[in-house]
Amino acid sequence: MSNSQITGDTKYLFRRDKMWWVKIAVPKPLRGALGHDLRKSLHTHDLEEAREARWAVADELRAIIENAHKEQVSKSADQDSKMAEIEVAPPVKTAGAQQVSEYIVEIVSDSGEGAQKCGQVLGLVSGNMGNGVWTVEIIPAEIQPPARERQGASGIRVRMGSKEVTNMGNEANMAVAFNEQVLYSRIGNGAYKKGTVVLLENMWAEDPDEKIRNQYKDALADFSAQGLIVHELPIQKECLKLVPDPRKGKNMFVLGMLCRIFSRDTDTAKNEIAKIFKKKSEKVIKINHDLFDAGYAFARENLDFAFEIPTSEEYRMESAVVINGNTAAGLGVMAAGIELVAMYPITPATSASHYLAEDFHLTGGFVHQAEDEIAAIGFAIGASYAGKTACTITSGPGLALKTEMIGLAVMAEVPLVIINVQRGGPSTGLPTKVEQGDLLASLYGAAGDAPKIVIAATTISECFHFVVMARKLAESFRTPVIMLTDANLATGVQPIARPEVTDEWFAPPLDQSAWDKEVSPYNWDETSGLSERPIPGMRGGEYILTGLAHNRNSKIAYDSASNQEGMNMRSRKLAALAATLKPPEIHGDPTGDLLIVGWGSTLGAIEEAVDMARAQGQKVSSVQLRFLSPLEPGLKKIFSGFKKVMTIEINYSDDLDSPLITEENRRYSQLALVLRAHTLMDIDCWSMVPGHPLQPGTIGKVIEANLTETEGAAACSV
Amino acid sequence: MNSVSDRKHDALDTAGSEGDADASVIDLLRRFHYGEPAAAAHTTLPANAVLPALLNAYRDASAIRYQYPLYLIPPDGTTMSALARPAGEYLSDALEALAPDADDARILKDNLPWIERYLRQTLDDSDPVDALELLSTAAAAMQKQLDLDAASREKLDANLERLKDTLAEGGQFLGYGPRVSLHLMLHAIRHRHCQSREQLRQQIDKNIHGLQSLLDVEKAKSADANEPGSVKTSVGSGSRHFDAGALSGMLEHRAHGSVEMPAERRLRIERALKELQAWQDFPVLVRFVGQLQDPSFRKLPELALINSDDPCTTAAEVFARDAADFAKLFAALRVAALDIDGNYSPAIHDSWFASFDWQAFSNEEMQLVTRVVALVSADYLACDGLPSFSRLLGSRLPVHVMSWVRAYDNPAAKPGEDPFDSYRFELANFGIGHRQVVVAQTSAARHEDLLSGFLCALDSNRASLHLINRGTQTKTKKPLLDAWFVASAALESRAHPFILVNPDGGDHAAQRISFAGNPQADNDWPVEKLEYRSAAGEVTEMDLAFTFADYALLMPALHEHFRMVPTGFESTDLHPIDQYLKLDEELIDHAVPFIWAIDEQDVLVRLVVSRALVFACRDRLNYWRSLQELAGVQNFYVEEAIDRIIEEQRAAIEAEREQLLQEHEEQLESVRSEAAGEAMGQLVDVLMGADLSGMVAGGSQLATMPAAAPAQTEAPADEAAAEAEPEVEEEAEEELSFDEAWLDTAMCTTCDDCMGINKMMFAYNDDKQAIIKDVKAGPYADLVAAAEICPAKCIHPGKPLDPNEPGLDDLIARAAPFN
Amino acid sequence: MFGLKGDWSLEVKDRYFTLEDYCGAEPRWCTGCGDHGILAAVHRVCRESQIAPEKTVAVSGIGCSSRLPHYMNTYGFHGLHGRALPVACGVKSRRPDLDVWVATGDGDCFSIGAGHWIHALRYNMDITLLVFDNGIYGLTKKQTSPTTPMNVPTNTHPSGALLPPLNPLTVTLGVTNISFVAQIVDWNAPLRHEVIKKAHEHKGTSFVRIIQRCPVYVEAIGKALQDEPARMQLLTHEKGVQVDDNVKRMFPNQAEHDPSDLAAARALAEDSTVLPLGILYHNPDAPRYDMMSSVGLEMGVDEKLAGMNKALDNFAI
Repeated sequence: MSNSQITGDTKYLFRRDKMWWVKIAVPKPLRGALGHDLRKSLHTHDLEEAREARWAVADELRAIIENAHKEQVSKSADQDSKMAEIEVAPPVKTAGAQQVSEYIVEIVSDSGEGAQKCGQVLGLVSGNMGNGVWTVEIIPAEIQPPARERQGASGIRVRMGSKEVTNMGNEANMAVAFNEQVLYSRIGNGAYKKGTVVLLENMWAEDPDEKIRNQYKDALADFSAQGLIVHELPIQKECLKLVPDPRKGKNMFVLGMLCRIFSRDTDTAKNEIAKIFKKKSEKVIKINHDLFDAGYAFARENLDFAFEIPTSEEYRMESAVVINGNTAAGLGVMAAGIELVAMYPITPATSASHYLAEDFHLTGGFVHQAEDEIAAIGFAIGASYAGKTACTITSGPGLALKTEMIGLAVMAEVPLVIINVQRGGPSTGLPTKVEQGDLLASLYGAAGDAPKIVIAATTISECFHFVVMARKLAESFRTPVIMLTDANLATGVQPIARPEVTDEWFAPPLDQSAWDKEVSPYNWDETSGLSERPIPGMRGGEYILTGLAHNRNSKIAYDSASNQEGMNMRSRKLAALAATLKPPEIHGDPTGDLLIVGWGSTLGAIEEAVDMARAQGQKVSSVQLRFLSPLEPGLKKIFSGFKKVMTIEINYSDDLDSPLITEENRRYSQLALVLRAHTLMDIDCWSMVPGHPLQPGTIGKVIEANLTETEGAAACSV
Repeated sequence: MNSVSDRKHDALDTAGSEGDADASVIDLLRRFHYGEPAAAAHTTLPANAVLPALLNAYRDASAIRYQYPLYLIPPDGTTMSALARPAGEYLSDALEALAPDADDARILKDNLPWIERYLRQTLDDSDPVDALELLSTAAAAMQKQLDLDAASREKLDANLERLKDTLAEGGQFLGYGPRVSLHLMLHAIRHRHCQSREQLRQQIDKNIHGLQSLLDVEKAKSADANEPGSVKTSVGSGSRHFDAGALSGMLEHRAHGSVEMPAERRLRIERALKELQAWQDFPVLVRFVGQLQDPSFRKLPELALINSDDPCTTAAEVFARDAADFAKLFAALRVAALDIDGNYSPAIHDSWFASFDWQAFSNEEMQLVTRVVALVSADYLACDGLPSFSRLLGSRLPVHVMSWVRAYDNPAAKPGEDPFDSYRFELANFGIGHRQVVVAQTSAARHEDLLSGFLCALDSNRASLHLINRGTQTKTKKPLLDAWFVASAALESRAHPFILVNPDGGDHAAQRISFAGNPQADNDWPVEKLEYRSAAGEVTEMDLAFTFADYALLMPALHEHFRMVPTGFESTDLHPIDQYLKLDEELIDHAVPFIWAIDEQDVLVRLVVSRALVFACRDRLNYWRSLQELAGVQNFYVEEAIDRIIEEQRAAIEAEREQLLQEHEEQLESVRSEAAGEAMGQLVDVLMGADLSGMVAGGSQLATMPAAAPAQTEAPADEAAAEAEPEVEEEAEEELSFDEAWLDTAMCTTCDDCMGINKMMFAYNDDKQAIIKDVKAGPYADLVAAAEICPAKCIHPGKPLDPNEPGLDDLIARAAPFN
Repeated sequence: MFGLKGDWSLEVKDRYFTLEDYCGAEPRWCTGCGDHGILAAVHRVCRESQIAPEKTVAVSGIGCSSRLPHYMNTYGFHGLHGRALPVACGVKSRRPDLDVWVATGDGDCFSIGAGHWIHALRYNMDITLLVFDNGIYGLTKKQTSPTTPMNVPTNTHPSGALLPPLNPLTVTLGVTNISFVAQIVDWNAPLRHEVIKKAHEHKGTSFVRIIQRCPVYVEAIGKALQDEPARMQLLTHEKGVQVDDNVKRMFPNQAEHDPSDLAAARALAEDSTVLPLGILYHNPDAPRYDMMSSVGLEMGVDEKLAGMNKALDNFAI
């Protein structure tokens, strides 16, 4: 009976322990008060009875919701009236503030001058006001580069928009620089364009050191030659009025300026400042508030430009959290009810573990820093084997070291969550920079055939939610799950809808019931290859897990039949999972001239570029893949709707225009290679390894180029 | 010393010759003693301010340091910690610890007494006061009082601060007052309950979590866990990429290895869980039940007051009600513990839990139940309340009865009746009469004895009776003595002897009964020296017994029973009352008993004691002696018995010794072996040198001697045998081991080699170590080969069984090294 | 007494385990291999401890020694070459209730797994670590191992091992937070049993190096010691293992050694002339990582949900 499927009308109904219940979802605004949903048992096992009884109970529950709603309305009524007042006296709005739908500002300085803090607060405030926000930090390679070093640029980019912002965008509209040298490295990265406004600290003009004075003079000439509009500002001088050493504190002055320039809400900003220094004394907070006010006033009196980025209700979130992808993954681990993360320090993955080390105890978890990458995954596998599905977090080089263990987990069917925050490779490569270079390693990097689940998060929000999914899939399908993110998601900060965690995301408590001796430790279902595992402590389930070829009883079996069966069954599980997946959604029309296929963190940039192209009437669409093993179903069908299909990835592929490269010997980017094999279609690719995220503009150009190319060409054929 | 003087001058101007005068005086006094009203009228009552001679020193309590005020030490989690200490003593010890050198904190040390007095004055019969606060105000007051120069003032402040720091959070000062014993009972209960309620809470939560997990596990493996809805939610927001139905269907393919929980177990677990979740914590630790019109207690969360005209009955009901609630909880906790460890077996446990009530509580559980204390007046217990009181004591319920007794009074006496018209109803004996009850007759003036009575009762899970004397004078407005001294006097005078009966102590009265706290417990009356200056002016001293009569003098109401002996009057018929009580029949008729007292001018006087009071004295003395015997003090049966037994033993041991010596002679004959000979030698020494005098010492030890003596002799005889044996056996073995093959199993390493050679010949035992199963199961060659290969060298082939086996000589040669 | 029925109802229900309850498949080791004996000892210690088979986990790597789990009727984990310890530690980290054994060899532990060896000792989780040291790679057919004595010919060094062998005792005793180090030979059953028993009782990682005979490839190593018992030294002490006199009789060479004396233990380990047998070092109070890694196990769902929301609040705007 336990297998009986429930058919027919079960509106409002759900079953728990064979008893029928009524469940009514609570509207979002009321969940604070009433929780996710309201439930009431109907005290019957009989579905018919339940169907009879449900209506009355449902009404009863709805009544509760109604009342709660009324209360809230009456409460918020007076709040509204307050709001109203505020509306009447609108928040600092600059006369003649220019309306823009989005704006990108960078703050760059020598490291240690707090440019990043400044940008983070600006981002928080904007998110708080209902703007879409994406901030990404500009991190120098060294920890303490010397001052006024071109490569030493440390800072942050803040992209604010009326709509949701999903990527770092193109060239910045404005840059605030604490010295002129640090701007060079950004210019080198193509971060600015003609007309980008530069607010530049002018103290260097009177620097005692002549060399510096000259550098400054030359730079000014350079910048204006490149079309940057430079405003020299006496930031240092202004700050000196309040503090003896502005090196610390300048950033708050600048924050004040920016809040004025972008008509940000000063109270929120001041709260955030207070939060930053909450561990310090009131005095410190006061000084920083003063600096902020000074900056604000300075901008009002001395800058004749200001902007307003209107917020649009449709993108406003009920309640949001502002986090980067690694923190999201860390929180995801907690929300998944995972109790153990075993890791070894590696950039850019480590900050996820740093976060967990702070808060994991809140959900009873523990971070194990192992002696090496192999031990880390071994430790995790041990815990998983013992019934506590664990997680290990790493990056490319770590993944390479873990491959043998991943093979073991596949062979012995140990559930496990592996988070790979990709960085530039091969070898030590670009530790702090983004790349999507580990796809093939994740899919195939193991001795023999080691089928496993591989998924890729496309947004910061998915960095959180996919861990929950990964844990569930790992246990349901009794296999390791590799979740790919990358340095772009890891360091990008964005407000995302606050997840409403439910206990159903948690792993169920440790099962120590007796085990039915009739059920073998690998009781593979012929169709799906799925089986349930005995957990140490379950009486009667004793078995010896082995990495050797084994039969259903986990007995070493070198014979051909057993080996073939084991391989079949482990591989079958992927087919089983694929059979439960929906085809990916197409961004844009289901047919057209060009289909861009991406995976992982490029989602935002690609869709933005596609939207721009479509706005210009181009027949281009995109698909972003999240499941890479197994692949999402229906790809062939989708692809056949387009004249050309190409992938855009941040990893290496040969450029056909390069010497010696021919159609025949061309090495394709990783997803392209997989898709070509999977669909037998002629799928093209465009990829590069710049070390920074792809910009919509860049992608736009690629689209343009490929559209002209496809003109007249026939729909790409099998 | 006492500055008392005995001025000799004529008090009564008596006509006629000394002799006649004396005769008439003693006659008058004797007639008073016998109770003749006229005589009573012609003799002088003691002045109000007269005190028993020995108590004169305590007229001004303020100059004297005694146990109160107390420092109440808050519970620190351990049950072992001290509960209270005299504040003065505590402070000076703490200060000593802080500043060991004489010069450290000199000023504070010198002025601690000032603080102590301040505490006592401010506290006077109030409820306990937060120690830290009070000490702070005291400190301030002292600074003001001393008004030192800035420097010393600062030093003093610093030291006062350090002193304050030694006070534990929540510590209190308690002054001596009428409700001291209630406060101390509450304090004792706080100590006993410290943490225990929190621990209960933790235990409940732990078990709730445990049971919940069991149910969640079942839920996770039930069909609904894979039902599309729950699959969808459990995948999280990623579920939008799935066809939930398909996923659910797919997961349903799995065969379930984890066995489902039987329905009745689930039901049991759900019931227990419900019970545990329903439990509400509450702060009340104790319920005081009684006629509490004016409980005048500060409202305390730990304390509930219940009014009742029949406190004993109500208390029993209240406890039963509380216990019933706890029984539900404890049963649920036990079921939970059993089910969580998978140890619940319906066969054993069902019936047990069906009839689970407070009588089944473990000691730990019983300690968690809210305490119930009935507060009842002695008069009520001895009169109208007697039946319900007795029922309670017999009921096994761990309910406590607390009562205040006036030591001079008879609780059974009608109101206004003279206490000496009837013999006293001893409530303590009434309690002891119920045998299984903790009985503590103590005094508020002795906090240690009082507390040990309380703790003994609280820890015993039995009903208990606390008879407490407070020494507070309700009748007079301004007592001559501070109440604490009056209470102490009741103890000293045997008017209110201490006794603590703890039935858990054992089956013998002596094991159950403690006599601790009684001064000079083996005397009839405590005897103290009194120093005084005679008319001549030289200091003399005399021994004075402090009797019940002396105590009675403290009660103005009883002054009727005393008359002044004219100053300077002497007579051979006047006897101090303790002597008087020892007089023989014929003398006693003429004798007139008196006690020594001292008046306000510090003049030593004598007071004749009425016959009624003398009867009372004798009565108390009898009671005291019977208590002594109960407690095993001054028990002449025992002394007699000891003498007798010692005598018998001496004889027995002599006989024993004779007999032993004989036996040894015989054994010496029989045993040849040198070793044995030595053994005997030693043995003889032992016995010759045996110090028998040592055996004659305390009865109990003696009792075991006869048994012990022979045992002692047999032992060495065995040794002798033992020492003789091995040699013989070893030889025997050598013989054997040459012929028969054997395997030293203990040494076998389980290497499988011998098995490899011959599975029939060798086998494993239960420890998986090899044995020779059947030596005939193979040729001698196998044995030899096994011996050679064995890594532990534990196979000894012995001699071949079949003389015709080929190549035997060679084999024997190979076997040799292993035999 | 006094109407209080005894508190018997919480007694644990009886389950008694015999040797058979711990015995798994028929061992496939060569006859005469020392491993048979070690397995027997493990079975017996398990039986004496009466810990339920389902609560026992035997973890191993790869090699002859590492087949042991298959011969146990408990839970087992026969994993990767050199990686037994990380897995074992992982098992213990969130399941302190499980009784964890590790069977490994001189190649598995001292060579490919050397890194984990050092760190697992330092973690000092409550694990019984048995190293079957036969001084050779057996399963892969006679290659030089870290403990192969010099000049013993192997298939990788036909003219004999080139370098002096690694001394596992000095290494082990050099590790911070080490808590139990013992050495035995497989062919002395009583001593073997006593030491493994003590190791199992010890709360912490108990390292037992077992000199084990491989009659097939390097018979000489074991033989040399068996023929010259004087080359071994039995460590005796009240705090050490207690064996009876006829066991002692087998060791002409004995020394009184207090296992709580680390310096003395190191000196013994350094001495290349004799092979100390028994417990070299025992410190019952060394901090245990499994105590730290198992935090929060008792947390209920509601607590976790509350914690989760607290965590999210830190990022809320």
